[in-house]
Amino acid sequence: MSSMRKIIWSLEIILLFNSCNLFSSKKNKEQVSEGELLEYQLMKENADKMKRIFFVLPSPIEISLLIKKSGVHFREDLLNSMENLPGYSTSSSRAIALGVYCADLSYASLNEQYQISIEYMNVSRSLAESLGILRTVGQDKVRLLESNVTNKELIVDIVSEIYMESNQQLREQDRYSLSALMLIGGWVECMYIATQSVNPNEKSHEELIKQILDQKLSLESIKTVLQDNQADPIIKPIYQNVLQLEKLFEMSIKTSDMKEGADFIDSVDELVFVQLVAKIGDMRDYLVH
Amino acid sequence: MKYYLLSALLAFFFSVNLVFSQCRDFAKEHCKPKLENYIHDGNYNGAVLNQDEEVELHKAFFSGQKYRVVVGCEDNMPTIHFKITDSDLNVIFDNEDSNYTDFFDFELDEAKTLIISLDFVKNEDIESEEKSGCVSILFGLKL
Repeated sequence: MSSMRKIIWSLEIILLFNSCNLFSSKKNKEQVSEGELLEYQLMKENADKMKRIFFVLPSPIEISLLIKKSGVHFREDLLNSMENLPGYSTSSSRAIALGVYCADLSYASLNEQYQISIEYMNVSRSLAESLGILRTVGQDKVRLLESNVTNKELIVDIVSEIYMESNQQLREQDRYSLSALMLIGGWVECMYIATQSVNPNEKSHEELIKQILDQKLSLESIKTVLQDNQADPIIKPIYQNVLQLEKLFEMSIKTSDMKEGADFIDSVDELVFVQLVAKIGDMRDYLVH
Repeated sequence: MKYYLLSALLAFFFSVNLVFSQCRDFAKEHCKPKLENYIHDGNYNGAVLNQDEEVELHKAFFSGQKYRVVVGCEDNMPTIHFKITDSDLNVIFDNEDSNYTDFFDFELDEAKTLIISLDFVKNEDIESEEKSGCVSILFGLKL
């Protein structure tokens, strides 16, 4: 009995020590993907230090803001219908849907679609609660919103809280694959809205095309988040799709036959870009249905 | 026997969650207000950091968007040193050159992945300071 007691207390102490490192999504081993030179320089510089490395995805608010600033009009038909909500019956589908609805909510609120924003906010909070995520928004802010339903800054601030609380509470509950699904759901939905809003032949859409192709830089973070959870049967096909998407991103920009001083849009391979748009559409279909 | 095991697991669960939520509350209450008229992007980047540890964040930033980076740590921890470099390790900002300010505003001409590294300034008088504490890095966006 006494030895069993010792074992239990030892286990507890080990677990408590381990808990100090749970925040770290990645340790030094991830420097491998940064290239040999970078790895060598970083390791040399930090040889005497413990380093924690995090890869951060752009949030739905950030991408929605970039879409808005590119000047394209709001399209309600691109949002994931709230009628799909009853179909999300598993934790995985709810986590994905939460990311998707947070993206729709960001897009609607930044485009000052207040009624839609309130409806999607309620859907997001209800989905979060169904996943065991509590107090996504403080009561003081809910009360403030009731008397300020057209306050864009307040609505976007609430969206930011729902997103942060949901993702962080899932991580705190050690539900890392659900957290990853939520993040990827949000990113894919934003990319779907952006790519469905763009016409590759339209000169005035050049800025949005550039913003879409710049998202290639987010793939490193997305791959890292998904790699950690590849054992999950839902995440595995998403990861494979992301790898295919990465190739399309690379092929979208022509590397030769470019005249000096040519516009950015002239460097875009339209055929590949259309494939990229279709790929994102397929990924979104997989996630929301 | 069952009760010992249960109490051990409960103690573990509550201690981990308490530390987690304390750091999240710290970020919301102490760091988020420093974003001022920038909107928080919704990402929480926080950790309990020992004095001899370093945190590094890799994130893509895009053109046409004004950003604010805010760093913060709990009281009784040493001053935070943070540095922003690009992927070729060119230094874009080092708060050591700006009196260890806790924020930096910037806008990029072209999209880039930036690395934000954070550690503590070495202090001889470590007796008065905690060995570890919550640190957080938040990103703000100009609407």
